[in-house]
Amino acid sequence: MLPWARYISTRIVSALITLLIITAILYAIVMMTPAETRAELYIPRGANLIHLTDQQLHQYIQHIIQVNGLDDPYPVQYGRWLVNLVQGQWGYSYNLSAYVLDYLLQRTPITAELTFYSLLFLIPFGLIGGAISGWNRNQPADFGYRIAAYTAMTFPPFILALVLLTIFYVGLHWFPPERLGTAAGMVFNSSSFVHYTGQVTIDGLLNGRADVSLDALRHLVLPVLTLSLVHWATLSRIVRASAIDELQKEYILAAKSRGLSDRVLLWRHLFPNVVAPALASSALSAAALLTGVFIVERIFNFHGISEIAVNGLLVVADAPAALGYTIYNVIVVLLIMFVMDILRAVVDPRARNEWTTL
Amino acid sequence: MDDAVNPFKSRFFPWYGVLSILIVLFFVIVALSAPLLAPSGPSDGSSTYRLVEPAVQFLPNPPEPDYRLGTVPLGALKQIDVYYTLIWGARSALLFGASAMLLISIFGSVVGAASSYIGGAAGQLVLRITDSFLAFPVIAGVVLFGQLFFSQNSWVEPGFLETSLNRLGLDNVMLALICFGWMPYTRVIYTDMERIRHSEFVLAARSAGARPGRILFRHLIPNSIANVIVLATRDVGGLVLLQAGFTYIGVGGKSDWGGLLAVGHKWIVGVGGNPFGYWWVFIPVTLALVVFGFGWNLLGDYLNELLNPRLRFTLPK
Repeated sequence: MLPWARYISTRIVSALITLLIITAILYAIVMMTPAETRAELYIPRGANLIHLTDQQLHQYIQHIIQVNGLDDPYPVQYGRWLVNLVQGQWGYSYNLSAYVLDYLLQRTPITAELTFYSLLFLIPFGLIGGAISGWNRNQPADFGYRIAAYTAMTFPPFILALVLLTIFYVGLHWFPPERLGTAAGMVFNSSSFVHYTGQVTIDGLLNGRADVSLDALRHLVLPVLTLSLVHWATLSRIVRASAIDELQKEYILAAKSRGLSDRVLLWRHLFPNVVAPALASSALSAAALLTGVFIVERIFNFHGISEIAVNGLLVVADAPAALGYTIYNVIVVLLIMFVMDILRAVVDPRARNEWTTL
Repeated sequence: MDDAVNPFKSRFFPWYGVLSILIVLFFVIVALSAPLLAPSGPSDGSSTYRLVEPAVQFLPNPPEPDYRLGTVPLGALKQIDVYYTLIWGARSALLFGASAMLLISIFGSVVGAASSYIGGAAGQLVLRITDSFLAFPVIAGVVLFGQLFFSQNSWVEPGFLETSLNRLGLDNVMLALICFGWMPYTRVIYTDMERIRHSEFVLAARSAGARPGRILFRHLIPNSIANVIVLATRDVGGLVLLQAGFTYIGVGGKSDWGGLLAVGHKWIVGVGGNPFGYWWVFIPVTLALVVFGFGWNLLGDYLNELLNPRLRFTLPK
């Protein structure tokens, strides 16, 4: 097989195994609940529950318990639930009065846009800054960079967001909160505006409405800034550590003794070797990125996937919503990890040939 | 020769090492002497929030002798004393950070060491499960555990589990951070132990007839503990910041600093575009969080340079 095909298929199988382990653990947790709670996970799409009385609802739930065999042993139930999950039957949430998967998918473009632009900023800055900082270890440039990075890393993002909002929105009227302004929002929601991707910045251009795209970008500046600052610092610390590690290796000394200039040494020899391990570990912190997304979305009033936790989810028990949100997040993390792995293999030819990590 | 005398040039006490130790010590001293620095107020002695009734109602009151760092309004008449919560918050932050760090680092290291020591298919399986946990965002854990144990009509029968969790002082944030924070330690110690157990000095010890237990405790663990210590030190600041974030957002957690910021957050946007109009509402607490995290991160860097001598090599310029 071609190395690429083998590498990619290994990664996919690996991600699927991860997903299997996590869903198995999650369903084991759900098994601790009474069958009535679990039944909400099995309410099929298209079932109209709004007009049912309490009595009828109770009967309906009993019916679901019987049909789906919710008194069966764990492996049987888990397998059945997994099949449902794959078929897109993620259950119905009374709190949200919506089907969980629909609810999440509707809000995906918003979160995706935010995450994408943040990654666009934080990855190059983190990689280049971290490499320079590691190269100049314990010199003024490195100390300056580390102080900036640690401040960014330890500054509470929720306060940073509010201070930025106050200065740039309330004070200067430059960058407002929310996803779109009123005018652009009306255009975006009008029937003549075609939603190709759901991402305002791209759809605006495709519809020939650059003003809508610009408005969306204006609204993205502050959340993206908040989100990338924190994670840029985390990434660049990983890169710095990996650069310092790499500087101990003999090939660097050999290159140095061949009389190569520092610039060639840093960017042609050190950098490619630093980027690969750093990308691997930043894939591992993709989970941290989603936690950041949650906080930023809440503060800037972006109605992304985090909204599922706003709508009373945390007050009243809601099995489908909580489980759906969890699984959705895990899938997103696995996707980010997959992209990072591909990037890593592009940068580092050795990575393509490794398949022991399965 | 000067290097050994001048503490700012010393190899064992570089300036950032001294600074980090001073910062961490400062927080420890503040936490220990909280009863002296902020004696229990008359209104409520047991809470970490002290309520006062200042002259100006509905608005944050600037610093005065009675409340040294001003107040934040809570409801109509009562206001929270910022200084009091700042001091007592240092104690709870340090307690939370240290206990969460200890729990996850010990658990993670034991899992990592065990999977390396056992090796084979079982070890690989443990690593595989560890990797799966890495794909799990903490926020999803917080939401899930909040649902499971701490919501109204929570999934699990209320009673036994909830009361025992409360007795242990665990909330959903602590549980989620423990459940989804240990994996980096497992990976770090596993990588280190794999590197060391194939090294020559372990082979020498083994051929000299050392028992597995002796090799584990005299060679493998002491040689792989350095990176764990560094990671754990850096984690303290991060854990406290995460807890404050979750408390602020309102998904759980008992961070005093986060709680105070949550009460005062609307006053940051207070006066027409100037975030510093009511600066005492958030600057002291934010500063405390930043310096706290900064100190622990810097201390981690310092320990890293101290405990990993192989990193001391620098390229001749």
